[in-house]
Amino acid sequence: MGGVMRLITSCLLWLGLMWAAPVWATVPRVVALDWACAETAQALGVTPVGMSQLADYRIWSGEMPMPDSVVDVGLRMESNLELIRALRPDFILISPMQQGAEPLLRRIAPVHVVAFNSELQPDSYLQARQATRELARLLGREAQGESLLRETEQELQQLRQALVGDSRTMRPLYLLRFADRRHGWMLGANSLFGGGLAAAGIPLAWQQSTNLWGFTTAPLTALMAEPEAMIIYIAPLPFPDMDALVDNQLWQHLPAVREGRVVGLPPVWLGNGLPSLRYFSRLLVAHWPQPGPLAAVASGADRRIAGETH
Amino acid sequence: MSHHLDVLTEQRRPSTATQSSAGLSFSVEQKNSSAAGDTRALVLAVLALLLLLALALGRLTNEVPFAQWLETLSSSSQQLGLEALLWRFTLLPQLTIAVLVGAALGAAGALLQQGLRNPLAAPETLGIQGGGLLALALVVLYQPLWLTHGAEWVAFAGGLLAAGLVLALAARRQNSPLALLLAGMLVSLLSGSLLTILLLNHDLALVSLLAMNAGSLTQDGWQPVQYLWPRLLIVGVLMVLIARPLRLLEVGDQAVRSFGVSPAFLRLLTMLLAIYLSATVVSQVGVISFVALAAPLLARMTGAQRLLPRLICAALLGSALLLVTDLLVAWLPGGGEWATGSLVALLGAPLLFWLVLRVRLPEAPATAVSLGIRHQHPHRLLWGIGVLCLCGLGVGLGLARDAEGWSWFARGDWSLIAQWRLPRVLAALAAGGMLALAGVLIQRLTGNPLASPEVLGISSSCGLGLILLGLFYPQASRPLQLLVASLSALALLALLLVWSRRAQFAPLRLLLCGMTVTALFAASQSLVLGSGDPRGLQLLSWMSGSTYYVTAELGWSLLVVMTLLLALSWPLTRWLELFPLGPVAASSFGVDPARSRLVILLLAAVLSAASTLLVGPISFIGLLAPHLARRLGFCRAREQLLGAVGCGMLVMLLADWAGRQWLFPDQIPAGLMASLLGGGYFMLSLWRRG
Repeated sequence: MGGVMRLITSCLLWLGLMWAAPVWATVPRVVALDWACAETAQALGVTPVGMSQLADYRIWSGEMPMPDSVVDVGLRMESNLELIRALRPDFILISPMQQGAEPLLRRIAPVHVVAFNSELQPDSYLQARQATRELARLLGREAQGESLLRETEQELQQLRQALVGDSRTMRPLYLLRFADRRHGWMLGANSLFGGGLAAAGIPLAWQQSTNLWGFTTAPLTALMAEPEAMIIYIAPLPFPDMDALVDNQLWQHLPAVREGRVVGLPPVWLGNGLPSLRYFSRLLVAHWPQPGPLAAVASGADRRIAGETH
Repeated sequence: MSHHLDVLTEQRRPSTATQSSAGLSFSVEQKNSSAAGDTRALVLAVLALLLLLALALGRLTNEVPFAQWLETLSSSSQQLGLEALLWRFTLLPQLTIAVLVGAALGAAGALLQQGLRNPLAAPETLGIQGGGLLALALVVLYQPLWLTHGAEWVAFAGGLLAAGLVLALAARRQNSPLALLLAGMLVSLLSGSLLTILLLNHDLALVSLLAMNAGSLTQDGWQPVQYLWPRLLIVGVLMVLIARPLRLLEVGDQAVRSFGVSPAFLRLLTMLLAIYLSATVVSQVGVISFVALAAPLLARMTGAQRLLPRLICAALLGSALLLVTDLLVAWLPGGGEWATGSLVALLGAPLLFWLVLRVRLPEAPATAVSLGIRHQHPHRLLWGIGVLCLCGLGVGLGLARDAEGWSWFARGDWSLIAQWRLPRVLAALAAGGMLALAGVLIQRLTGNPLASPEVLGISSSCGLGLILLGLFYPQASRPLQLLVASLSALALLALLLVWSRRAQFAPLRLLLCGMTVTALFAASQSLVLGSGDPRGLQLLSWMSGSTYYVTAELGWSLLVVMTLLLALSWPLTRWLELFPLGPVAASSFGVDPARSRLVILLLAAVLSAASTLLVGPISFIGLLAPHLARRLGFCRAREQLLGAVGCGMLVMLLADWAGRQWLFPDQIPAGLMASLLGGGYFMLSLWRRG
């Protein structure tokens, strides 16, 4: 009798599940081969069962949480198919760049291509919002998705408050990660962080073209183009510490360096989703120099300009 | 093994005393007396450099008028405007560093060529730069603090190890020029493969290395110049000091001893100086190839004969070469974003090819191929290889790592094996077989045991075609890729064919041709990688040749294609028996050499292209499998074909399997693993002297 009851309840439960589809009654098993997808899913409350290059992600994304239960499924470009299959995912999340492997992955589980970057949408922040919505719908976490968008928006407003305050003008920012002692990855307006800053009303100094991911490798001399800008660099550095740049005379002569308008940030991954953007904006607020000395420096710079025009 | 590489030692002329710089000379007749030639060469080199310096001056005055130079240089940098700052801290040091680095490389090349008595010795042909870069990569990954003590010593250690390995290998073959080049090629390809493995698995941590790999002269201060010039000065003084005894080395060891210097010590010192020069360059600006090879050759061609003038000429011409490239870079669309190091190799490749044609090298007649000792029961041996292949198949399909450790036959999950492992194993089989087949065809055709799709540069030329296709039309489908790769292979083979009438497939020439194309390929690859585009790494993994994307249908059809091509080459075996005997013998048996050659080359081109698509351009299987087959005792063409195909399949199976398991869950492309296995095998066989 009890067995029959159990059977009926489980049948009913099953029917209920079918009814509620595509909302998952339990947490879906997701393998995310794209870091942006992985961290967005994690932020939406769906911890991926597997993601690619987990060890690297932990180094490059700083303190973004990713629990130990997540399995490293190998490289981003050639993830381990047998391992992914063994994880029995409900679906697999990839970026358009990984679409070459889609036919293979589709044989394991349904594949969803979520584009956090798109050639069609130059505003990466808008694109990331759209991708987050899409992901939230896929995971059945629409409410969490909306709140993630809202919280990101709020955090960008706080960033604006902290950086711009009530003043009307704002120095443009150079955003870069050092590639070596003489080159940097310069983030442009179509990068996620560039888009986020733009949404917060903070101008970006890098005006030249960038690749699809919103950055370009350029010699540090290119930072000369906007002498009034601030320079924000993001760790990890490809050299032991910033003292390695002592010998770099051009770096030392950049107006921003001479006038102390350089801010170093701990590691945060450049190409990720909204969780990374939020983390970045928190970091930027936390590391932003106190207004006192900066204002003095700014007025000094203004004097210099005035002197030149005379 | 020994007798198969006999051709290496046969290169060597019997007497040492009469040998002038290993018998190298140029087809340009030098009728002038040596002193007049030296003067002419020096004047020419100085003029060339002056002309370029004038151009550089023009560029400098463009930015800042000459009258303001002194002011710009002397005034406190605080007061300088942006343009003046850029001029003083980027443009001027960049042009200076081009001159310094060019001189260092030219001198290093000339020293190596003299010390080793080999006209083609250079940091890149001896694997010094590759070794240095690999050492830097390892230190960046595992001991980053060492870099604070000076990157140049890390690069020096790496370069020293690589060069030591090359020299030790060449010494086992009486230092013949061919053996030296072959050993250098092996070591640089091996270090390149290892570097690629590191790059693929640590793409983010090694970003800084990509710019070095491409060799960028971009400067932003005087520190590298200040670092380089005292070192160059010291090495230069040492060079002048040892020039006299070093010149006597050409006459013979006895003459040097009479000078009171041990010849071995002198050679060692020369090598160390050259390696140090290249290592400092690598540590400061990265890999810059071509200059060190071409500048001394050019110096020789313009007539410099005595050592010291030749050294000076090479240094001057090296500066000129690098300066002209750096000036050209500024003119190119995209401006300073191009890496000078890769560009000089790209632009220099035709010049290198032309130079290589003009160097007169000691050659053995192409017929001097020993065919080995025939096995008594080749059929039994073939069965044995077949059984081994089946065992390999079992391991490749059955033994693997998974989340819980090692497992045997996927713990009974047969669909996993059928769907996921079988396609890769099939592709490995097909690629190994095709490369082996191409190798046998080309080796028999050219009568050259060193010929193979990889060594002749056919695979690199496929890779070059694929890079261009990937850049201009990234959405290309597989058939289109195959077409482009085949066409590139054919183009190179046609070039070889035309050219071979003159060179008659002489082993060293073919090797040089392959080296040139491989250099061209490497330069374009590092140029793409150095640009920092994430697609570069995708390209790298694709170029490294992986069986990852192969589906079961594709795997089966590749295997069928391989079998078909094997069947096609079956009727050609009569020609293949005759070709190694030389063209005269072949035509006396009624074989039309031109037509049969064309058919075989066509077949080899298709085979190379198809296998390059699967396992990338550098796998060594095309060289390795025919060798293994001959060593096992397959001497007749048909036996060798079958034996080589079996060996190729077996090695490729092993490479694919090891690549999947070694760094689990990460994977190493099968082509890269194969190049490690094949390169290792050839190093061993070079090592084992008869």
